[in-house]
Amino acid sequence: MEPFGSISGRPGSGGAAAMGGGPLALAERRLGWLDRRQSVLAQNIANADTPRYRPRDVTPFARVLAATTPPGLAVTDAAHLAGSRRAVAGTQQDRAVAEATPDGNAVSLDREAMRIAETDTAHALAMAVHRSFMGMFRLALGRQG
Amino acid sequence: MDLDRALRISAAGMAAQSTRLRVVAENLANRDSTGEAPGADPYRRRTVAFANRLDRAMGMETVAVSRLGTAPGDFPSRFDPGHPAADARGYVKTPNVDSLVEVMDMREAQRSYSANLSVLETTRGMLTRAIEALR
Repeated sequence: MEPFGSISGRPGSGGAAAMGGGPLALAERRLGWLDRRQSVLAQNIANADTPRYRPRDVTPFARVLAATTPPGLAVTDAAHLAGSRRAVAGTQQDRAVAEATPDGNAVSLDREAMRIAETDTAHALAMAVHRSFMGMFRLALGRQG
Repeated sequence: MDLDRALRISAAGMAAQSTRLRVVAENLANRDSTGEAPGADPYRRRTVAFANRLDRAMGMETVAVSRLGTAPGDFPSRFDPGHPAADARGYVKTPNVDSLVEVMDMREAQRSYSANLSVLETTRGMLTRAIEALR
């Protein structure tokens, strides 16, 4: 699991803050990444009996974040392409495959189950961060929340 | 929405496994289905193959049953001259279904089905949490 606070807590870099919204934006991206990962893992499990299927996983969040946070290319003109600023996590074949069945399938149900659990926990954490920050906003706006 | 896709992928996996279970049930039910005419071929074991399919409408890859085939191989025969399907020498061809293989297949289908189901439940939990944030 990627350390959640290590990037937002980097002093002076202002990376996440520049994205607009700071922790909220970061939590949002984390949630988007987790959604994507969940669908990739679901695909692995659905193909647990497909011959020659190799499990896939998404690019680690830390790497996705590092690739898309400023400093990057500045958009100074409307004609500039968005490029990788809004990059979605790509998927790649899982290299750490221990063994494959005789039909060439390399999905290990227990390892996928572990990853699913990991994704679930990380999702709960990101949701909690999101909720607590939203609570602060609500409080600042004078509502109970 | 990726969680929505995850739900659909798990559902596709469950559908594929239920097809497999259905084929196992067919094979086991026809364990003793011999031919009708003398010397006729009996029931031939059916097989199911899965493949990773690209669902263009949803823009995702799911799993689907790619082919329902039959298992090649010789039929075992049994000496039973009184049987209606017995040939001139008194032998009856019996189906090439092995109960043990079918039961193993059934167990595997059951395990894979549960794995898909638990992914579905986890995904649903994530969706529910996301909806809770709106409250």
